[in-house]
Amino acid sequence: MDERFIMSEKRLLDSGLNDLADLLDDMCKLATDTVSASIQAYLEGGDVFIQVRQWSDTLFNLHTQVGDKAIELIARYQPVATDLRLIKASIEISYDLSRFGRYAYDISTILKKFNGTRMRVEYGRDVIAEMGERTMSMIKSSIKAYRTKNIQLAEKVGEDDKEIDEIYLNHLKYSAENPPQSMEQLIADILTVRHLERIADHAVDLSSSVIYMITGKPISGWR
Amino acid sequence: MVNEQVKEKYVKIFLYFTASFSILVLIAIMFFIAIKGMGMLTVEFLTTAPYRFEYGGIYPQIIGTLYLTGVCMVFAGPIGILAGIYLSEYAPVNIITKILRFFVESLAGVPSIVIGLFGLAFLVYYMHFQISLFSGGLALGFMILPWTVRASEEAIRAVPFSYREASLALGASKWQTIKEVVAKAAAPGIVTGLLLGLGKAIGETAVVLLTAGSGLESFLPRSIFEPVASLPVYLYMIATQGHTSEAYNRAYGAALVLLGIFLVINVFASLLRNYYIKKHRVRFG
Amino acid sequence: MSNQTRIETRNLNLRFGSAVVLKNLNMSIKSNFVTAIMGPSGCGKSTLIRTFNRLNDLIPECHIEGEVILNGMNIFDKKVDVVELRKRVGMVFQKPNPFPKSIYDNVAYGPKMHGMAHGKKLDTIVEKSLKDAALWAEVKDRLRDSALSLSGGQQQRLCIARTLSVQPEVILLDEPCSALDPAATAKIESLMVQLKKNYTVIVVTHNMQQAARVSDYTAFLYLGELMEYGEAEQVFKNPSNKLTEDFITGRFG
Repeated sequence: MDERFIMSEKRLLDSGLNDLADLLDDMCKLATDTVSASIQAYLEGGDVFIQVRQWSDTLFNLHTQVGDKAIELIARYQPVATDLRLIKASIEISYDLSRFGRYAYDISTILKKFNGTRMRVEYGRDVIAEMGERTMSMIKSSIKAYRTKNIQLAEKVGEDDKEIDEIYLNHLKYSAENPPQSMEQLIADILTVRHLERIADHAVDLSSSVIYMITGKPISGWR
Repeated sequence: MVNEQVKEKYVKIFLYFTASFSILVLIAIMFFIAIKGMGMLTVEFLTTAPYRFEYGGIYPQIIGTLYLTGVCMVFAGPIGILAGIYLSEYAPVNIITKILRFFVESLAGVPSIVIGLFGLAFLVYYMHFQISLFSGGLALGFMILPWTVRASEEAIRAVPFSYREASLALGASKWQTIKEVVAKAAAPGIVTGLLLGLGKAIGETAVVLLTAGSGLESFLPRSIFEPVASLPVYLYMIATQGHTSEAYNRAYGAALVLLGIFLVINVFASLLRNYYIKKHRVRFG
Repeated sequence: MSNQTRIETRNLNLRFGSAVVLKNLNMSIKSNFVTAIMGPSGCGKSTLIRTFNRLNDLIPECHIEGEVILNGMNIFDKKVDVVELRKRVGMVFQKPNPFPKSIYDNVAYGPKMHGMAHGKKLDTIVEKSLKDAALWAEVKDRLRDSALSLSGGQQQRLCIARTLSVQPEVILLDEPCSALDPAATAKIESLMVQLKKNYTVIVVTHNMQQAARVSDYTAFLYLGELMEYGEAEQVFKNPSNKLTEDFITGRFG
């Protein structure tokens, strides 16, 4: 680095950005747990509805806090360049994380309505298990990409999404052609794969925000 | 070891006394002249011409003094201002300018009797201007020229560079800038400087004695090439050659009038300055 | 008029004695936009705009190489009349510097010097200039008062009116708000943006936020070199140069 200018040790803005990062950190952990718990419950059974609802609410609260903090930092420090992009990306990412929570809650609602606490849904179980696994891995990758500012990893999440979409569409077609006995089962199955597909889309959005944050390339998302 | 606080106190007292002393001397002189001269201040004394040492008034002396300073200012004023403009705005920073400035400054230190002698030799005899109002005014001008040059140079230098920049940035030429902005902004300083030079000229004796007249003339000059009376020379003559109490009284009267004129000019100069400073005080915020 | 280049520098180098101030500068400034030049103190930003009206000529020891093209003509050409150039490229300074004259005379000074107008026509020019500088309403009843009786912000707008009075094409502003309070600063900033309709506005500022607020194009100058120059939105959202990034995010200075 050029010796002729002095790098400031710490800017006032930096402690605000740290607060923002801490909030997102909490959200990342919680969102991962929430999605994981609801998929687990769908596949293996278990009453997680109340727990998931509570976590989902917390995620939404944290999302609101991130928005408030971001607005405060903009108002007080007029950030530009990477700082500004980091703040915008934080708002976007926290929204995606809160959506993870919301879809996880939706899945556990379906579980409660249609399956109750009954164990083992057999119909379409393999597909949901595979989608669940892939989705969880996309969530983890996108979060890792955010934490390590890894563009390659973020781009890979976009690639993964194409596979998820394919599985999703194939399964819809399969379900239409080979419906199960119970209509309830069909609805539960289709809504659940649908929610998993949406979760994957938000993982793509999140990764896209990470790329924007690092490079300034516009957020394209899953579209 | 001397306590610093005690030392401080003694120094303060000592300085206070020296300051008081100098002011006291000034007041004493003014008091002395005022008391001695007051009795002479009659209409008759101020409006009639002198007759020998002991009789008459000082009317031609008062007017003559004003004439002399008038001629002096007509000469030294414009030249002083223009030279001041040259030195501050145009003169390049080189050895010639330094020498020029050195001469101007040295001229200020030349004893007035020497300038008087030069006036006598050059103006009166060589140029054939005679012992006259013209020679006297010009010689006085020589004497105060360094002061007017200095005063206007400094006043012009004190004009903020930002005025010049603003004018030049509008596309004004250098001379337009000096004429329209710099000189006008420097005017109060220049005028004050000129008035203080004028004060010097009014009280000057030696120069006038050698070039303008004997001081006892009982008439006013009809042209600028005739001798002219003046207060300082009149005072000098009757004080040194009068030897009677009547003559001495007249000397005190003349001194009081001279002091009065001098005070009026100084007060006027400082009023003018304050007025301009007040009028042009720069405000921000 | 838009998208036309008004001023272009070509390999512009400037030094004061042996101190190099501007290094091989190439930038073209567009008509009818606000262009901001920012950079840390001593980066040469003021010197740069002072070459545009050749005010650096006043400084001995100033050596310039390269060209500054104004409307297709090199301003350092021997044929160029500096007086005429300065009439076309007006300048507003860091500290408000009205002449110690009346408000009217301050604005009338330029047109009078150039013999542009007198009498009624001069009155019209003064009024128009004061209106364009958003000062008319505040001073119309006191045109004969000393300009120095105005507040700092009003004085600076008066200086802008004085610059407008000779109908320039380009207006250079050298840190015009650094001596003003926030309210006065806001007025000058909105004025700058209004002025771009009829003029090419170039503003030097060390206030990064100000550059972000007012400029369409933003240049970042560092140690006499043009580090970054582009549309303001781009420069402030995603600068291409690491130094620009560090400067605008306050990481050095």
